[in-house]
Amino acid sequence: MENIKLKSAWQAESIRLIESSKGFYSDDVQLQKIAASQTSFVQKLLQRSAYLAELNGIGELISAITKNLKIVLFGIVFMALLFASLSTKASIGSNQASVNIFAVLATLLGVHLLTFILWLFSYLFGNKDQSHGFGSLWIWLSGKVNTKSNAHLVSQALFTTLSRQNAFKPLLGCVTNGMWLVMLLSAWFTLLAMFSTKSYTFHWETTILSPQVFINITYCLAWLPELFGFNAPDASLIKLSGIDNQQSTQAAALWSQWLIAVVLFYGIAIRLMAFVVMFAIYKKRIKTLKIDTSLNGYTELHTKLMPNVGAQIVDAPAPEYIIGKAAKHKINTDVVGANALIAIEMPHIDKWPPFKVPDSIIDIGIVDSSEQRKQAFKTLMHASPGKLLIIVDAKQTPDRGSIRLILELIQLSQQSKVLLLESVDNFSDQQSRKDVWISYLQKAGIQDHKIYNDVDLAQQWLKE
Amino acid sequence: MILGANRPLRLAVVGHTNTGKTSLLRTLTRNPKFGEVTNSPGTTRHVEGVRLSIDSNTIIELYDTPGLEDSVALLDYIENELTKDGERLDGPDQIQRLLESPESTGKFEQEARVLRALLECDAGLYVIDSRDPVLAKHKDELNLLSRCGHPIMPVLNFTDVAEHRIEEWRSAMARIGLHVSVEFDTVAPAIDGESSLYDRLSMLISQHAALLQRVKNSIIKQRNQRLQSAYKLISELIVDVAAWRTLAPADTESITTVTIYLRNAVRQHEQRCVQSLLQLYNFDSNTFLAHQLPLKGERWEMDLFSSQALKEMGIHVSKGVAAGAMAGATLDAIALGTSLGAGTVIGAAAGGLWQSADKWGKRIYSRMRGFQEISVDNSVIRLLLVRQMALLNALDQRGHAAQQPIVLATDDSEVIDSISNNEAVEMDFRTANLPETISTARANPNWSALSDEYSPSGRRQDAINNLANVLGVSVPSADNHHADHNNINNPMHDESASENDLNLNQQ
Repeated sequence: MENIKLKSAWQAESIRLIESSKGFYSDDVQLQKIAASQTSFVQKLLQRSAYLAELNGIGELISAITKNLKIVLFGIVFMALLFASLSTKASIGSNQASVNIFAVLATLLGVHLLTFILWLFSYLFGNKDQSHGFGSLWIWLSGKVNTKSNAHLVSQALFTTLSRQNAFKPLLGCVTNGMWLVMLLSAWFTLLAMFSTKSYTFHWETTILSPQVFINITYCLAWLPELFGFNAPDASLIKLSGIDNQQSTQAAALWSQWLIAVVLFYGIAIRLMAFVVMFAIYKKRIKTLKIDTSLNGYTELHTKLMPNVGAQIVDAPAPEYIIGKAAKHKINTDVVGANALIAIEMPHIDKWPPFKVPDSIIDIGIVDSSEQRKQAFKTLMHASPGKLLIIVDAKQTPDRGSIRLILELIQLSQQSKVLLLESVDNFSDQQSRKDVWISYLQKAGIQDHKIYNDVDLAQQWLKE
Repeated sequence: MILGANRPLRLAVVGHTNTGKTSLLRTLTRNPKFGEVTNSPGTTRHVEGVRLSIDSNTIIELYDTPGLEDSVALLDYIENELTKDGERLDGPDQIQRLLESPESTGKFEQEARVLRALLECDAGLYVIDSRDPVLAKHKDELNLLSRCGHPIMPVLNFTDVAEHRIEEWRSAMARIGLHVSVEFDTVAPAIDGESSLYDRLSMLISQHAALLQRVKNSIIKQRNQRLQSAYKLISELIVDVAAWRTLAPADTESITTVTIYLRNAVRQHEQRCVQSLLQLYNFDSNTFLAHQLPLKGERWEMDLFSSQALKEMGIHVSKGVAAGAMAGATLDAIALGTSLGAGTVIGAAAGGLWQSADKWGKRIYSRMRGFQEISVDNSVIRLLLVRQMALLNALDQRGHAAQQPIVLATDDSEVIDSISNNEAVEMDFRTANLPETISTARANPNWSALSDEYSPSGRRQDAINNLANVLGVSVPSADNHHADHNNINNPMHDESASENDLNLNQQ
């Protein structure tokens, strides 16, 4: 299985979108070479689009769009870093006051967990184009940055390529989760830095809840970090923090450790996992990139790029087309017999003879088969007619055989003429081939005045 | 198979001059540019071969040969000059002797080429102009050809005319022992014409039956694929036109200007679709004469708040904000005053709000400025559908030897009549309810390739595929009796084949 690079697929899709909405690019020698090469349809499509992309500046556009996407991504990452750091700082508070631990936890993790669940739902159940969160912000902003002509279609081409591969949502998932990862990391390090450099005390407040709720929450959340050796405050300490916010540094250290661990496990770890999974899915789907050749814009190219007809094989070049020539010399007989009448290859003529023939004229009849021909030659040789009228069917195609027969007949008489007769029996939709006959007869050296179109004229000549 | 599996089957296309040998090759190879075709004898004067391949393996080699023109004299020559008295030679030996004789490069040069080609082939297709009377020279031709020692199958061309002499030909052929023949009109071949040609041929050369069966299946498969592709092309045109809307200030003059622009753009788009269909069917652009699309009845009303658009907007907004606003709402409750939550606001905005604002904002703004939106009326869409389907119908039944251009009547009622006469169309798009897809397209202006905000999303592609299926169902074509072949060796277009199956199930 051939591996298709994303850039090639993107190029191909760009060309496809442009061509199917604005018409096809014209062919040139290079494209004809591609069509003639011995490779698969997909490869030809890719070669063709790579060539056209280069020719029409699509390649540059793709580079520009890629660059824009990266710039925008870095921009968002930077903003997120700054934003998360500052917001964490603000939520902890810069004054030395005691920190409301569950409120901080809610601001640090609440939104993150909520959006994570929403994202997960939309990833699993949403349609393949729909996306939420930072991913679509990224796409939207990048779209605003690209202003060159065709840039819109070319960037759409990237999305449709990925979407068809089911890789678009994973990519956006990567960006969304990556962004959250960055934000949480930033928040986490800010937290770490603040807890390292300043002394805080921690407390919780409630009006309606019992202390047991807080003990349960704390224990619950501490379960996972404890597996990795992070300590959590014990029940008495938790209870104490609810009543008195002037606690020992020991207690503050326990609380800060617990908070850092919770953010690490329920924030960073979740997003990291989501990011890694999304990235793996994205990479996997991109690896088996396929071109859907049944799409409009590709199907029309199939006959052109994949002619089911191979190279043409020709035998020796065609010789000059020789019809035959009228012999110069005639059989010289002093005896001049009666005039004669003959028709060749007219099995379906409606009446024979076509005009009333007096007894003085020899009616040889219609000649077709080899035997009939031989018989006719014998008769004519014996009779040696002064005039011979040869009748042919103008609705049939002349060929070398019939011309040769006419030429042989001509030699057997003093004077001969050809009558082009259209057999009535023949079909109305079959056009007359008189012109072809005349040109054939001329090529054989039979002059115009020896060719009759009209029965009456021919009849008159024969009876004279 | 007796011969190696790699060796392609060789067929010589032979016959009297000017009976349509090159035309037969054009139609069989679906290549209107093969060789040279005129209505006069002696057009082809050398042997020209083409390879028919399936999946880039050459399966059949077809050889176009010059016409036989002087068989009577040639047969006399063989029997009188080349055969000594009392000598008994079999057919191939006689032909061999002819090819060594001086006249094989002289008087019978052209005939010798044909016979030499046939000697090297597995079988010959003897092309007959079935309007011609059966003459002694034709019988002599068949006599000569049969001496090459290979099966000869007569192919009766020009059978699509009112009168022909098929019966006369059949009885004449039976007298010389040719009982298997096929009718195949190269200009207007029957839909299963090629299939029956290869079927009959496999009766004659049974050792190649498996190979011919493959060719036949491939032809049927390719035809179905072409149809599916054509439906998709037409569907995309319809989606593009239905989805398109353009803005104009409300005064009459501007509206007129914009309408003219819209008409021209739609006409050009239709023309592009026609070109694509021709390309798909491998016909020249001059096959189909350009015409003016009589576009009337653009839709004037502002569609922005039509029920479908609203529905669409409702769906879109609620879907979009579903993530955003919900997150925003919870965010307000929990994280009021704290700043990490603002990130989610951005998320929400990106999720739906901004997308929608981007999409609808311009339209709402234009409406406030008193602009009107102009889109293409359903009647025009019906017309487009009917005409494209009529063109497709014509292309599907056209042989690649045809030289007259296709002309579709410009009056749409005539088009409809011509189609219903063919009894090919079950669904009359002129009166039947338009497929649901069209109203969906209307509510998605960015689906139109004519629009500046063209966004070929997956949903658009789904809509095109749906419409293509509807079009496929509307035409009860030859797919039906070929249904059983659809699943045979189909390496490339698995998807289109399964779509086919789907169509059949729906029927």
